[in-house]
Amino acid sequence: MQATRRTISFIALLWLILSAMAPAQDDPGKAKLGQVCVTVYYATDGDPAAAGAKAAKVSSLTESLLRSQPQLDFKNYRALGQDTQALLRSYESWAQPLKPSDEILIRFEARSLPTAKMMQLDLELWLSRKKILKTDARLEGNRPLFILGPEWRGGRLIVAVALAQNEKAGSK
Amino acid sequence: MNTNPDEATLALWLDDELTGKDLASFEAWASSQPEHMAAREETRRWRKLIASAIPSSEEPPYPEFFNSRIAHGIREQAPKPALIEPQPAIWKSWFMPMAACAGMVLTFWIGAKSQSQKFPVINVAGAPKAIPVQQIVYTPESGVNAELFASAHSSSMVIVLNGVAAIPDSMDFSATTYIPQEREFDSTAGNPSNPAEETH
Repeated sequence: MQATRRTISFIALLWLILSAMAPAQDDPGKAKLGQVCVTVYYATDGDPAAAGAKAAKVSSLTESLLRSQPQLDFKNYRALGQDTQALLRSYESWAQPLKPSDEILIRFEARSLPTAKMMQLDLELWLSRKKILKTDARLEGNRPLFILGPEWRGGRLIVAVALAQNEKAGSK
Repeated sequence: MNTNPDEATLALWLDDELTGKDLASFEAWASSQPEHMAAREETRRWRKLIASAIPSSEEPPYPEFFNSRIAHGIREQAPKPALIEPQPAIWKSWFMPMAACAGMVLTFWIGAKSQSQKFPVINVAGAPKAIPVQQIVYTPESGVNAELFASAHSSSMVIVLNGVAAIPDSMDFSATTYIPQEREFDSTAGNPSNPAEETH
């Protein structure tokens, strides 16, 4: 009788251990296809200090890239927030670049299998919890998508959506 | 020499069931035993008394019931053999857990193997390229429209939203902790080899 009890206890313990070691049974739809980085910039022709003391200056490269687009040509730029989320095989992802605020949200999901340098996404911009924009974006490593968004404190907010290159596409 | 008869012969003689030589020899012995003779007379008297009270044609009531009760009483009074629990085999104490362990490990291994076969790792290097189509821009909010500015040769794509409500100036994003990823600006700036140029 005692031997039977010992056997049952041992099997139960083993089952718990093996259950904890079961990542191989994960949902394959959660496989990472890559990472998407969302950054919010404040662009203004006025005083950039209006964005607040915590707003960060942007690099000269980023600044020159923004200025190269006539629609995004402003005198000053500041970075307000950033969020990087995984692009999953079967599920949508949400980026919240202005955490803890949910004033600006980006929802995205894979539209097709990515190539080595390009990802095709279904992408939505949500402002104040309302869906404002829906598009199918084709993101390449060195070709981000800029969305010139709402006005704020005498300037405009620019949402940049880009591939995060530190994650190898296709990795799990 | 012991001339006393055994108990069984004595019982048969008392019941008048001895016959032939046995009866003759026993009678010869018992004639010198007045107490035995008196006992036989007493037995005969009781037998006659019982025979006069109960007719010989009548069976005793519920014989099976009485016999079963008697048999039950005999069984209860008989010493019971001690129950000896069989000792489990020594090899069972380690073989059963080991067998269960091996079975579960095998099951998990088969499950993991079939899982990996069913969902192979995506090799994006050899994947066919997506067919380029016209990019769709849709604005579900009334009063909002969007313009797309993109060309194959430009370094970025731009969507300009018009008619979108302004964010109140009172909205404060100072609680946002801006921690840029190491290579984020690489992607944004189109120069993945020089993240150090970012200034804050």
